[in-house]
Amino acid sequence: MSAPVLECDRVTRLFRVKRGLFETPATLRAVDDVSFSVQEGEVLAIVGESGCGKTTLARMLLGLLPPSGGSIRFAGRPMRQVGRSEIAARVQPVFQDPYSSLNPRKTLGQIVGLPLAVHRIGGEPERRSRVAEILELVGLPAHLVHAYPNQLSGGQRQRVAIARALAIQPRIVVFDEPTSALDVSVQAQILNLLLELRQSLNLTYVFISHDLAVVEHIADRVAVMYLGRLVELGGTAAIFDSPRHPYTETLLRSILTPDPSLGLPPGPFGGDFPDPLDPPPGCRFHPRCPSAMEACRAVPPAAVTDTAGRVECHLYNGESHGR
Amino acid sequence: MTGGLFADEFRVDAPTPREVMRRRARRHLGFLTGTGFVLAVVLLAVFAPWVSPSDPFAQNLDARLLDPIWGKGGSWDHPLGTDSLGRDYLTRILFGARISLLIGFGAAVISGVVGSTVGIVGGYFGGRVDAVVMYLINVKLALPGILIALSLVSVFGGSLIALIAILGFLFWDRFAVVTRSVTQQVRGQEFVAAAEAVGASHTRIVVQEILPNVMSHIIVIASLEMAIAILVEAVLSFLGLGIQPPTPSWGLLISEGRSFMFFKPWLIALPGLALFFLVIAINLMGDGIRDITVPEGRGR
Repeated sequence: MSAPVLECDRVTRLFRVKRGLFETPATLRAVDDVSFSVQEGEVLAIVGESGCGKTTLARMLLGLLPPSGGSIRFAGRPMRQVGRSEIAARVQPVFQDPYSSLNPRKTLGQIVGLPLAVHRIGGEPERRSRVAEILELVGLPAHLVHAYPNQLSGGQRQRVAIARALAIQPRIVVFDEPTSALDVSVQAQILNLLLELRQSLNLTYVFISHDLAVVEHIADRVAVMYLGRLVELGGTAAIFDSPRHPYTETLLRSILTPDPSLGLPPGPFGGDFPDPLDPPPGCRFHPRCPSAMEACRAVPPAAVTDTAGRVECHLYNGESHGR
Repeated sequence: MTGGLFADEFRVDAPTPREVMRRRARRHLGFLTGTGFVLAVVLLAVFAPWVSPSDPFAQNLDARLLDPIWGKGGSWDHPLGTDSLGRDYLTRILFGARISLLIGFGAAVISGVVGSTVGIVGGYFGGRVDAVVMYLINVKLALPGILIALSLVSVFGGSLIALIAILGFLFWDRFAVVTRSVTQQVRGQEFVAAAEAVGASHTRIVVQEILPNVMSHIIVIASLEMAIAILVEAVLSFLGLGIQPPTPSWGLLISEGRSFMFFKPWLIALPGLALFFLVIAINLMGDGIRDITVPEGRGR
């Protein structure tokens, strides 16, 4: 096994949230003590409900937001020692909303050429041919360099966003829900494009999504987040076939089946999503957990790491391993 | 990936943003009227020495206070009559347009540069920088503009340059307020995060990503401020604190005509109307630009 291209070691991000003029600001633990590593060439999916800290984690991986604690390492080197432009050359983002991720006042040529201009790669003619090349690579004809984003459809725009991310040939691409703003038919095209690009360019993906069907299709490993904690991490097949954390189990049960006669899935969770500013003590999932025990209400579960992956749940702590 | 399957998908039919604007402009009556009038005034002002019938300073005491062409004894020698020193009134008004436009344009440019810089910096960097910017804006909003202008003009005198500078540094607050909030809005968009993730410098992000999206707002406010500066200049000149005689300025012409108000009302009415129509035309143009540059889907 080669060295991980990207490592998160106990990464934490806090936000101070002002509530009122005279109230003390609250602390939001958006990402709490998250550790994982990404191997060269793999697709790691990060899943979870809205507000679980996925996007904050993505912004930290991109170097847009410094972690409050812990460290992020690129091929063994701490991010803090890696310069801004070197981070950019290693890891690039593709965002969720292709309508807000492309500057409406710039042509596609300018948008895709921006990374080349920032990194001073090549002269004007070289850049132009490189931009045309990348557009072809993502399945867009080169004559679109003079088009503006408003002239394109959502799927085409997302291809442009992918082209921009690939322009400086990063090793890692962080996708923040890249298909959730697209029509289902277009989603499949984009996903296939992503898989093809990964093959041909030997890319590593961090794929953030709440769409489990998409994740099952594309990911090698899956990390499940709940309220800022990484509750389970494992191979895609293992996670989908035999989820261990009760949260993962419930999350998987909430997928709609293609067969309409089966009706809607059972009501997924007991209770509401808790207030992230005031998370429950002990295991953060215990108020909604079907198999909560006494310990869950008081003691935060320690992570259990074994051959199948990593899980943070009292069910797997110590002797009660088999359930 | 490419080829037959997507052949239709890549035909780009939608117009470019520029085409959309051009199309909207052609249908916008207010914009066309306002811009047409402003352009005409600009041309007349620029070519004033060639189009005006005589010299704006040439006095002819034998031909004082002649009526315009439609009045008693009007003649084509002086289509709009003469003033109390026998100077051709049409010429005076044409040359007055130069002063008004210079001051309006100069003040709008200075206040636009100052205000937009302050606003964009505050909106982009946020936090403490923004707190300082908000403080500056609030201080400026609390100052009585015209009174400050009056006192500054009485200190520094009423030269053209001084007036432009004073008015320019007095009217930047509206630029700052608007550009600040628009910048905050644009900053939250994902294309700014994408540029950051690419490693672009703050300067590049502000100039290439933010500014093009704030520019239409700046132009709209600039047109409003231009109209206001023209009016304030007229007020100052009317009060004797602005442009000094014998330079022709519309405010000064009105002031000079005041003593003959009841006998020769056109001495006041003509420069007043010129001022009125120019300001209306500039505002029509500004409103038009706002309508034309709204993003897709909003307004028609």
